[in-house]
This record gives sequence, structure tokens and C-alpha cells, in this order.
Amino acid sequence: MAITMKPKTYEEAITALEKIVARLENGDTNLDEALRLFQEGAELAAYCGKALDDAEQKIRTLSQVQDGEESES
Amino acid sequence: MLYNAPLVLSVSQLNRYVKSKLDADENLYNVFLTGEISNFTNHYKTGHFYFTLKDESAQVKAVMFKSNAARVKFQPQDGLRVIVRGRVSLYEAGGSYQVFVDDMQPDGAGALNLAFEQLKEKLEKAGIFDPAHKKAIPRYPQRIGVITSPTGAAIQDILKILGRRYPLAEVIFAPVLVQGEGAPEQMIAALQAFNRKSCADVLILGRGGGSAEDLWAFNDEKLAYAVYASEIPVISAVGHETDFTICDFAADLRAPTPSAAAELAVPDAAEVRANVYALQNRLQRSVSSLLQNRRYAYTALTERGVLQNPSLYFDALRMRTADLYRRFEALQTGLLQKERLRLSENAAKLQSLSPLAVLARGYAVASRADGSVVRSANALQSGETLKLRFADGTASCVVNEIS
Repeated sequence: MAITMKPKTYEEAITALEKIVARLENGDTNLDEALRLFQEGAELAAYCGKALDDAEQKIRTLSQVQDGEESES
Repeated sequence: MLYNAPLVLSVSQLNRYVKSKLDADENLYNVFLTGEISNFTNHYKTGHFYFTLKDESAQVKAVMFKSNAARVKFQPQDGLRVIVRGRVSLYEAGGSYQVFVDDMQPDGAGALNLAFEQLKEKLEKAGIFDPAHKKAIPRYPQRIGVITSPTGAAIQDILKILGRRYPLAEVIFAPVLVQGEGAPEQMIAALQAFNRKSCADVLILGRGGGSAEDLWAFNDEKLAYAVYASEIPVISAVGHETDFTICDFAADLRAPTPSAAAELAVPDAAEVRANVYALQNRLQRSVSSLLQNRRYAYTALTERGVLQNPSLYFDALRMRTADLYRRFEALQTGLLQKERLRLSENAAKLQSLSPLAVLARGYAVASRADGSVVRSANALQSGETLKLRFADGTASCVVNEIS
């Protein structure tokens, strides 16, 4: 399993981070798994922090949104 | 010619005559009349209203033609007290006089208020306000649709708060009319476009404060249905905290003002950041405590004697081996002595039985060349060579005579 996952949205990242923390706090993971989860959690936390730091409000009008445009662009 | 003869009229002539009398009376041309509606019929084909107005002791028929009836903002019904304006005339075919109503207002409560209550009740019954149908507002929306006027204060307030609280989300703005002719239609079209393009996670629909008439577009029945039908959760934000519109009831969430709607639509980035830090902290703590537990377990293991000082373990082993060896040796020695004794006993017995002992007493044993012992003189032939064995040696001899 790859260590690095690319979260698509802030929501996805923060939810994944919450799950990882809950699993680690549960304490029934073996050491290898725990270290892997920690690494992944640290990356997710960094992603969330960066997303918050880098955010700048973007505004478009509805007519500028094309029909059938990807809902996550 | 029939000057004195009584004038005989047809019914039609009579009715036409009376009608002309009524129509000629200016007092009956523009009458304001108050009364209670009964026998109300909204003719389904023509759209005309037919009803009776009555008070405690009298009643009069009334009709309101479609062109006028369509402008009535509330739903007339039996028992409702109204004030009507119209002219009084006669319906020739029926022979009854009636009020031809141009305008109708509810007596007491304002027309808008009544219409509002009636529409609210109707939509309530249709399930448009059903709490079970209301969708949750997403925690971390990526895109926020805003449907409001491009010129009002509402859009400025909303953008300011969204930008300050949660700049991560993109704002998709649909500028629409929020009052007057065509406003509900534009808002409905925007709702539908957002859903068709599915380009927002949550919608804010609203406007800043105004008079009841200004906010009236948000009491539109079709708009309520469009809000209800939206797959994207809708937050309504119409006017001030004290203003309630049909749209507020149909929405998934009502915000008291446009600014409040913006706050309800997104989390506060500061709180979100604190949440990330808290999670980071918990992550760190959980892993360190896990590592610490493992370290304790490791230490507990290594602190046992064996691993701490392996030579002790080997010394014990060595001692045990030595002990075993010693016991083995002792066993072995005992065994040897026993065997040795047995051997000497047997050797003595053997000694006593040995033929050599007999020979020692002076006997000799004769044997042939092939080694066979001679047991009888008769078996011998003269000239045969025999070997005689004595106790201390042998002698070869020849048989001379057999007797």
C-alpha cells in the first residue's frame, strides 16, 4: 500500500486524518502499521494546513460555469 | 292605439328595463361593500368567482370575472370577511341583481398576510416543509452558490464573510432580480441551473431587508417548489431576523440575515485550523504513546536475567552438565567393579574346570595329525604319528604296537 495519498478535497483530507487519529488512539495497530499511519496522517495534516494558508477567495458567476463541468476542478 | 290597454312585457323586457335603471344609478356604479363570503365557487373552466356576500340578516349575489379574479392574491373562501369594490347590476338571464366585483380585499388582516398564511398552509400540507426532507449542510463546502441581487448589500455582506471565514470555497454568483415582476422566475431558473450544472455544494438564496411587498417574491409558490426540489442544500436568507417568507420554510436551513447565511454555509477557517492542529497533536501523542508502550514491553523483556547476563544462564547449564557427568562417571565406575568381580569369579571357576589342571596331575592327551583326540587304542594303527600334550608342552611320537 502506498504511503502517500493525494487528497482531492479539504473535506477528504480532514476526514481521512480524523480516521487515522481515531485508529491510532484505539491502539490496536501493530508498530509497522502505526508508523505508516503516522506518516500518512502527518502528510494529511500538512496538506490541510497548506490548503488553509494558501486559500484565496475565488468568485465566478453562474453563467461562467460550463454545463457538464467537473464538479471538482 | 292600445293606449289604455295594459302594457304586457316579456320577462326579457322587464329584466332589461330594471337593469337599465340600476345601471343608470351612479350610486351603484362604484360600491364598496363589506360582507362574509358564502357559497364560494371558483369556476374551474372560466376562472370566474361566484359567491354570495352576506351579513346577519341579508345576502347578495356576487361575481368576479377571471380578469379581476386573477389579481386576487389570497384564496377567497366561505366564512371569510371581505371588502369588495364593484358595480351593482342585474344579470338578465337569472333575473337577480348582483355585485360585479372588480377588487376584493380581506377585511381585517392585510391581503398579503392572508395570502401568505394560506400558501403556507397549502405547502405545509403538500409536505414542502417536511423536516425529514431537509438536507444537511456540508461541513466543508468547496463551492458555494449565491443567488441574490447584484446591486444589493446582501451580496457584499455574503462575499465579505465567506472570504474572511473560509476562503477555501469558491463562490459561484447568480445575479437575479429579487423583487418585482419576473423575480421568482429568475430565482427558480438560477436554482435549476445550479442543480443542472451541479456546480455548488450549498446554495444561499436571499436578499437584504425591505418592506413586506419587497420581500414578496420569496413567497412564490413555484419558488418554494424549486427550493424543495433542489438536490443542493439551500440556505434561505431573506430580509431581517423578523422577516419570515415561504422560501424560509421550504429551505433546508433558514438564516436570519444574508450575513448569517454566509456564516452558516462555511466553517470558520480559524476553527478549522485549530482542528487540524488538534488532530496533528493527537496523531503525535497516539504514536508516541504507542512507541512508549512498545519500549516498555521491550525493556521488561530485556530486563529478565537471561538476557541481562547470559553467562549466568550458561553457568547453570554448565553446572548441570558437570553434575550429570559426575553421576555418569560414578555409575560407570561402579559398573566396572561389578563386572571385574564377576570376571574373576568366572575365571576361577574356569580354572578349576580346565583340562590343563588334569594334565598337571600327570596325564597327557593324544591327538592325531588332524587334531582329533584319540579316545580308544583300537582306533590306532601302528606307525601312526600322534601328538601328546602335557601340562607344560607337547611331544610327537610314533605308535609301535597296539595291545
